[in-house]
Amino acid sequence: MKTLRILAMLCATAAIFISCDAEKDYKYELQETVWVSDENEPKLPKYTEQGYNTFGARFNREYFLSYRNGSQFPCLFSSKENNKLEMTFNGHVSSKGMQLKIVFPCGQAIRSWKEMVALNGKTIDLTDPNVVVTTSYVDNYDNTSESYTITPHNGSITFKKVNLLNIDGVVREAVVAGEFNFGYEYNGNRYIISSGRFDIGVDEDIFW
Amino acid sequence: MKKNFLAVIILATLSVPAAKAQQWGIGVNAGTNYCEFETEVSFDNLRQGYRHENEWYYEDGSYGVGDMRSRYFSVTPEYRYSNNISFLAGLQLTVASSNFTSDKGYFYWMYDKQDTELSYCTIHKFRQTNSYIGVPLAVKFVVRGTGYTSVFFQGGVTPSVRVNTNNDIQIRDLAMEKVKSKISDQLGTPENFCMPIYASVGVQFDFGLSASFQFPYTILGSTMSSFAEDSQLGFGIQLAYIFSKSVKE
Repeated sequence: MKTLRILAMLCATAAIFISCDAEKDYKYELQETVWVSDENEPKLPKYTEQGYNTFGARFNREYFLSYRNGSQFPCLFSSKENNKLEMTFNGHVSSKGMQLKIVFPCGQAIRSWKEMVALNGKTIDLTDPNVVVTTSYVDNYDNTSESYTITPHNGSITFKKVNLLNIDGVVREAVVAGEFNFGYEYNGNRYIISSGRFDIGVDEDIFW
Repeated sequence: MKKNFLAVIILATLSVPAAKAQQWGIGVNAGTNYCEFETEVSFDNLRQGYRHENEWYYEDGSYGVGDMRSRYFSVTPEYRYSNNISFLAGLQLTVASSNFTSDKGYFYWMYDKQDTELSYCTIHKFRQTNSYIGVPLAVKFVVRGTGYTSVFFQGGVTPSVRVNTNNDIQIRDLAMEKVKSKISDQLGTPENFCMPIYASVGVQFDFGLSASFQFPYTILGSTMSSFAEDSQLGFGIQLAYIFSKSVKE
């Protein structure tokens, strides 16, 4: 009888470990990048609504793109005071690392990734004075960085589709997909970010 | 060179009087074809599930791996117009099985889409089996060899009608068995009618009764699977046993 109990306990422990591993599989796999090129503009990722963890935009005559490999998450979200949300794009322009941070009011408090569906269909005017846009550059050669706040003179970011992603009966992440475009001036130079698109899977590692 | 070849064919065709050579035979045939196809991201319901480690290789978004095998059995009465030319017609049963999976061994399939929720199911494999009844029509041109063997060329078409489809969906999580029928409906069926065209080269053995084998290359008029994009079945092999009967004039 005692042997049976020990055996049952061992089986239960093994089952818990196996189910934990399966959960990890889902998590890591959904956080990976799936790059599908745009047919019309192959240097940009195609606009998708699947949580492929990509973004891309024209940046003057170059491209601001998410990394396809590496440890960096392409996009992060964090909840801020006064019902604001911070969205950070981590990518590169040519060989330079670039970060674009947008803090915007979203009308209601979003405290977890599951509440992100509240953004579905919303457009944020980036010229709104309550919106703060910051860009940072990292030069990978001499390891220097510079950061500055910019004032877009036009443009917006649209959350075209926010879905909860349910796999095998469990909601595992929110898929946030949309488009962004804006222009700004800095140090007398004009910068245009156009044809921007993003498709990000958001779970508790991406939203904090 | 071309002219010489044409002259040989014409002479061979006309060298034997048709009346003497008229003969009926019945061929019992069995054959198989196999092909692999790579499906691009054309399925609306398919979510890719792996990272593009080599950006160039996966630049086109290719994802899954599929294969198709068709097996067929036919009975074909054969009318020998001359020693070189025969006409065949008959009845054929074809069973075409196609599989689809990813190189990881599983993939995610969207079975439901609500306003703000996408529902996927993890699937190991799709297997679709389609059965067809067809009428094979063919022309055979025999180049006489030495002794009891001869080489022949055959070309034909098999107008076929689909009579049955079976979708087998292998799901990872048994708790999701309830959505199988919905996924099967999404997979759908191929077109009801298809017309494989083939050309083959073969060898025939005549020892009173005759047998042959041939290697047909088949092109499908439409695919024999609802998820295969390739319309070619490629090379296959066909074996035949021919019962012959001479007709006295």
